[in-house]
Amino acid sequence: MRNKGGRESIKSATTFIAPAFILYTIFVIAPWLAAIFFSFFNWDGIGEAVWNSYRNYIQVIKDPEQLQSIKNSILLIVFFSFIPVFFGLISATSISNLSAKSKIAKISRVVIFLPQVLPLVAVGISWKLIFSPNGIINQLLSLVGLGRLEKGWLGDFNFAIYAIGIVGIWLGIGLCSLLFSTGIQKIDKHLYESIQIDGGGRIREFTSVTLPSLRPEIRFAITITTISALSGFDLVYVMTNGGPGGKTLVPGLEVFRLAFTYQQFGQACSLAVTLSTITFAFILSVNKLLKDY
Amino acid sequence: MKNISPKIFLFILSLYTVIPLIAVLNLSLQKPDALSVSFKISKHLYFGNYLNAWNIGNFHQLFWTSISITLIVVPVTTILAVCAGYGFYRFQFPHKKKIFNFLLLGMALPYEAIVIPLYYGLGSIGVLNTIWAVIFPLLGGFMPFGIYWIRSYFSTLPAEILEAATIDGANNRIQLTKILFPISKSAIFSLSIFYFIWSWNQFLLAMILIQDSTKRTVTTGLTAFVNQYSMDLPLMCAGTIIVILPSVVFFIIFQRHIISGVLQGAVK
Repeated sequence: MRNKGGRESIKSATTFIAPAFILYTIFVIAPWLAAIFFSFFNWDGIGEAVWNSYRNYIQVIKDPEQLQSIKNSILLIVFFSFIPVFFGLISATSISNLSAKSKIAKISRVVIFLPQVLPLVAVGISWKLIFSPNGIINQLLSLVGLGRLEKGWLGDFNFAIYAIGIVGIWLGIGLCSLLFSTGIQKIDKHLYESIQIDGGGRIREFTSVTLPSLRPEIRFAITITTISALSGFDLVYVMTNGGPGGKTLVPGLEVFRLAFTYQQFGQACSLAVTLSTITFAFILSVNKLLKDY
Repeated sequence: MKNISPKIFLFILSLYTVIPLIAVLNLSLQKPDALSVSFKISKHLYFGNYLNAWNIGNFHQLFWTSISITLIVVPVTTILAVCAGYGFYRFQFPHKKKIFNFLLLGMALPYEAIVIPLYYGLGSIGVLNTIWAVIFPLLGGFMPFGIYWIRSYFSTLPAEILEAATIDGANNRIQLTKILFPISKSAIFSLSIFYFIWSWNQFLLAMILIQDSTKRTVTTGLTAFVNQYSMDLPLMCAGTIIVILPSVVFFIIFQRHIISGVLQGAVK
């Protein structure tokens, strides 16, 4: 079997793992540790860094802009993760109810996955046009006689963050639907038969067989989409740049502004560390809640 | 008859996916005075926007920068991840589990959380505003996923494959290159396709670490172009399509690998 931890084995393992490990430590872990370190200082990026204890972290909560960015990112998890998982389940069930030869099942599976591979900035630019005052949404509204509802959606204080959310749904559905439809294929067909014998319908089939069997896929889907929700810099930067009035700020963008617009590097670092802590906490709890029994 | 509603649902979902892209494509083919994204497809398609966008936006340079980055990042990260994944799969050593978890930590760490120290760190070694400022962080940042991926793929292979080789006295290098590599080619290829997509689409690192406008990548170049020509919608849309198109073509060519790759990641 596999080599036990002899000296020879340690030597070989080091040879194979060290290059990757060193690059990872230098370019990911070291900067992260540096961010944690500087998060306790007042530093404008040029002068001397002054020890500030944990006050930057209090500022994260006290500063309306930073707090808003954190609230927004948590709201965006609903749009980037939960709603796509929900629709992904419906579309995967739809695909599995159709025969394997069904053209629309095959084609739609590929088509709705496409957004995953596109550069997010290009996606953001496209959607910005859709939401613009002359965009498709307003044209549709006036077409059906609801012209009075027309507005510049991304400039609307209340709606702008939901507009970003709609793009998040658009991005995530394909991934979720693909994962779940393949997961469904692996489910033992006899489980469904026994429900039918009991006289249960489609909904019983879904809640007592499909949903529990898909637990690993759902866990994976939520993990991936949450990571993308919490790092939504690209989309927001091109679509609204945080506006109007800071209503669509996300932590990534706020870190960037704190550092390069306000020259508050220490503060930017503590928001960055807060962001990574939220990400870890969320992923850990999702994986705990949905663990296999 | 009972299959009608799933079909309608899937059709609407597909429409929702392609409409923004088709709208931009449509507008990119209008005369420069067009004002809005429209459903109406005009009879006279105007391709001049593409030529103008390509020249004004300096896209050949943007493409060249992005291609240079991916040409270095993709092969290096793929090879290193395969080696390290093999290391974790094949050998026992002290603290193995801890070291592996330490690597996994990086999968959940957003680039937003490390980009400011990177800005200073890379500045101090003098690579800021060069392609290396994006390449180095990606080399490190791509390791966790790849190692996890390769190790879990190797674990699905039957153990006998290597046992026979060990008895025959094949060394580690031969086991990896002559035995594991040929049977894992398709999984390794999927990994390199992911690496390609991620490095091609990378925006945040490129924007902050390469602020010199002559060294922009496709994504940061497009953003600057769009900000500058936001008044000329068809031109701006043509630029956007120029950036989207290669990804779409790439997806169509490699969709089987991409999709099977995503599914493999979900197994574990």
